[in-house]
Amino acid sequence: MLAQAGLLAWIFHAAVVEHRPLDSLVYPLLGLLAAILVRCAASALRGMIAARASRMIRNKLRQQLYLALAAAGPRHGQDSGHLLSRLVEQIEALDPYFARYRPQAVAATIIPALILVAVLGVNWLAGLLLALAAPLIPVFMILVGWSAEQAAQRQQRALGRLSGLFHDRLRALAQIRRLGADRLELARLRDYSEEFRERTMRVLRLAFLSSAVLEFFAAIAIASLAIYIGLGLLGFIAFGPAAQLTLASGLFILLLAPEFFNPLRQLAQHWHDRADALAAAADIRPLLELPAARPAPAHPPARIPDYACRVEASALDQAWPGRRPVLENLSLSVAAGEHVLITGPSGCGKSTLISALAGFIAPGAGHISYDGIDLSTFDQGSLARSRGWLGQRPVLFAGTLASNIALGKPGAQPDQVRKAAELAGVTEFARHLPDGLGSPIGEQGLGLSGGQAQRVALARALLEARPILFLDEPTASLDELSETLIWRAIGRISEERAMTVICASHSPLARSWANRTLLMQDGRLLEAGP
Amino acid sequence: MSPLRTLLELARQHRGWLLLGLALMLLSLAAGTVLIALSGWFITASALAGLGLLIGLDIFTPGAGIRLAAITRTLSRYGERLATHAATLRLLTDLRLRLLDRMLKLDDAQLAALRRGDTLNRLTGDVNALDGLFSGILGPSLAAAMLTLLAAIGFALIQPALSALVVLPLLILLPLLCLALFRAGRRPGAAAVAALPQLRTAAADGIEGLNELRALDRTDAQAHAIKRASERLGNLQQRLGELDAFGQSGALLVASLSLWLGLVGGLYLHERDQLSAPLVALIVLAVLGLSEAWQGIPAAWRRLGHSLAAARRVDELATQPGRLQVPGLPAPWPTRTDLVLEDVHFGYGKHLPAVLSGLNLTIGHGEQWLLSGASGIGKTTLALLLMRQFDPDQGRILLGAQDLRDYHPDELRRRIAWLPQKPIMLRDTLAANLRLARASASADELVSVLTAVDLDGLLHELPDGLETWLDEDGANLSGGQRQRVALARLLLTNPDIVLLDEPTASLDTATAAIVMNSLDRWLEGRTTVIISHDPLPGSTRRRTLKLDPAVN
Repeated sequence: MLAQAGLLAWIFHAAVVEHRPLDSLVYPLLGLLAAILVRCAASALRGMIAARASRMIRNKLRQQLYLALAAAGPRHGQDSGHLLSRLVEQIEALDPYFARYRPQAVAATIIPALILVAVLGVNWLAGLLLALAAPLIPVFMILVGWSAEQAAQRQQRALGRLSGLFHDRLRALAQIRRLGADRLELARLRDYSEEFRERTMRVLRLAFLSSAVLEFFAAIAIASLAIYIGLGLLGFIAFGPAAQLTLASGLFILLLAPEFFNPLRQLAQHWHDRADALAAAADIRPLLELPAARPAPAHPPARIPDYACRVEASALDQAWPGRRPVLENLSLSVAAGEHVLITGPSGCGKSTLISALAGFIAPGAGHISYDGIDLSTFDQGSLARSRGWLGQRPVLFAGTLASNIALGKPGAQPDQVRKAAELAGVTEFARHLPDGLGSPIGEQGLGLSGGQAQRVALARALLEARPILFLDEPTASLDELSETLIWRAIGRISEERAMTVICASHSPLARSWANRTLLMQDGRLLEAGP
Repeated sequence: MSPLRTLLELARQHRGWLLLGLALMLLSLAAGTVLIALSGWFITASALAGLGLLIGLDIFTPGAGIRLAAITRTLSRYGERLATHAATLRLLTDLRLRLLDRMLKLDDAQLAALRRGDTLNRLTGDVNALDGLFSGILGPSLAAAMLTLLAAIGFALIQPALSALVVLPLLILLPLLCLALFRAGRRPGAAAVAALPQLRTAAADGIEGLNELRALDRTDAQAHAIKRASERLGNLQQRLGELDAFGQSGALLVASLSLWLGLVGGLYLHERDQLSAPLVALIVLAVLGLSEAWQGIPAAWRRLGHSLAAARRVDELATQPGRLQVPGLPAPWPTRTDLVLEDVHFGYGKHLPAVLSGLNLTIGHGEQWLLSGASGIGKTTLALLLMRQFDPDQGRILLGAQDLRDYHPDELRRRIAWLPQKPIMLRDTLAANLRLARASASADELVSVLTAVDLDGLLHELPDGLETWLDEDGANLSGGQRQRVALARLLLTNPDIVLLDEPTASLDTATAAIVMNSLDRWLEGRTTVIISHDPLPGSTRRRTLKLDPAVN
């Protein structure tokens, strides 16, 4: 850019002042052309590199964030909607920052400095004038930041709130209409928007004023430079370096003056990208630093159980901050092939115990072993091969019934899937579907009832025979009929396959199935009969 | 029909503000160009005068012109930003209201379909995406084109041949570049819009199914799936980013080439004494000003595809025809509201099993029925059929001896009250939420219906009483409180038929008894269907139907 301005000014000077014929200027003219091409290529390259860097940063961050969430387990105390928006939208919000703001911020520090140096070299007074117009770049940056941030944020927030009101009413439209309030609500919405617009415009009038100051400085600086150079060339200014001004140097300075302010003006336009990205980053960072729910062992265990085996726990303690202990010196011994039911009121810690026994979380203190092998030596893979698990709220993934059953083993044989579906009672209702197990199921198992979805989840847990099966309130949110079906399926399975089964449930129906029932109370287990 | 019809119509209504914005935009760009061009002319003229090559230079007029241009640029830029923002806010408000107005013509099932999944978010996003259409794309493009034309005319007054040489590349190549970017950006832009929900699905599966995935050791596999979806989106965005960079540099290149041509041509003419040196400087530097005006335009055109697609989707949703047939001559409302189901069959689609097959039921005028049965058995579906949110696949439903399809849907909506399982609260005050049912209700009336549903205690706890602001979905209320606010709202209406879906599901037994007691009194004389899989606190006149798969 400097070369371009310099060459342009020099060629013009040579032709106009020195009257050199155009033929003799071919090389400089070609040089100017080359400078133009280089500048454009560099600008294109800059944009491309920025786009690429932004993509790589976001992909990497998203991967890291998900793995951090997965390691931390479900106990991060955040609802899934917020986590989802962080994983998707918030990371997307970083794009403008990396692709536009960051490169522009670098440009806005380097380019004005370079131009200032160049101009100072040619004419220190003109340089000084530029430096004065932009008092000190950092001060200027703060001014830009302050004004642009105000304006951009207010404006974003105004648009955001209006869009929120719209979204809200759109969502509730059917109910608003049924209540006969549709006309009234539309009128109210208009009033809100009008009031909102007036308030926003009042703020913007002020906020834009400060960015107008920046524009003003830029325009005035160019104007004064032009007049100074003009008068200097006329010989009206006797002091300073004005006498050495030539058309070439004057033009050079004039060409560079707008470029001096341009990066700053563009930076002001991208300022809200920075604010958005900072807010997103502040939301994401704590998630990345979540502690893992269970430390991963250095090596997988030498041996894992391959047949119904005993499960033992001794002296387990678990407490969550700010609450009384959930598990307190709890011990448990389950024989190979035994079916144990753990009951107790909701919130007494049954789920926590199952999570610890199934290796989802590491207990605060104490030891757990499968077949005498310390659970803390199991990595995720050996855990998945040692135990099956069914939770209270089945989660179905976008796909078919079969693909949901085969979640743990994507390449599973159709026969194996069918067998698991049969065992869990999925076949009973899948039979009536035109595509059977190949029937598509939508988001969150749309079209399946809670009981049906739970049976699919059970089939998923049973796809491959595992020595141990953990059931965590498998019928908590089901009606009586569905519950009966689930327990019938669980009963059938425990007869058919040799497995150690540990189930937490407060359902009365569960008792008929268990060999032994334990009652959970104050963080310990009490024998409650057969 | 043009997808932009709605938008253009709105633009016409607000043309005053839009034109003002455009004029100010043009003025500020023109002032900027004049500033730099005049400065160039002035410096060159001064240099020549200083060397004695030019005599009688008036230094005051150009000096004043330069200052005037500087101030005009600042002021008009400020005005332009205000005008375009005012126009945008007005336009979006109108667009939203008009959209809501059109949506009111859709039936409930269509509106419910909107709420599922991503559609509603996308619609909101699409409307937001339209805010930049005038102020960010069309306005600046028009202003830049007009400025270029003005410059062309100005140059032509000085030197027609040179004007053509300088301006033609701008006027031909830059619009072509814009069109090229528009075309190139359309496909990856649309693909990126489609890739985002895929990423959302992968991420949602990964987060909501975290326990399952952890149990089966599939978290790494899911992380991989998320990464793949993220890569797909990222690659498309990178492509768009590259297009933007290409567009920006392309515009710079075209403008710089035109500047170079101007320099060469100008100097050539100068050599032959056909053009004075200051005018050469003026033209060359004016091109610099034009180049600034065109700087962001090609990249804006790349986004035009996105805005147009958004406009098209908005229009499609807004002009979606109603699904249910509306009778030409609607039947008058009957005096007796008996409901009769005759051999009703219904299923939600070919791929799903039938929900109801051959249901017969007669609900007499003023009777109160309790429908029970396992979840998924079709209780809610039955209620939706009674409201005519769907028509039966086979059989018919009679209301007062007339087929339900003979009444106007608006009439049905007015006369049939419906309490859904998950009632929606508006982000507004508690009073405003209640007054949806009866706008004229006094504060005393509101307090009395709240007392009837045992919420008078809550009313005292709330910081601002009736004027307390409810968050989205009433998140600052518990599930049971939300349900009771919805019931209180219902008590303010005066329907002939009432359908209640699990009215006491999230209430404890004592509260349920109080609520049912108040409700029972209000329900007297209204034909009522209550859906519940819990037994309800008693009413002597209530009759019960247990739906089960064998019977229906």
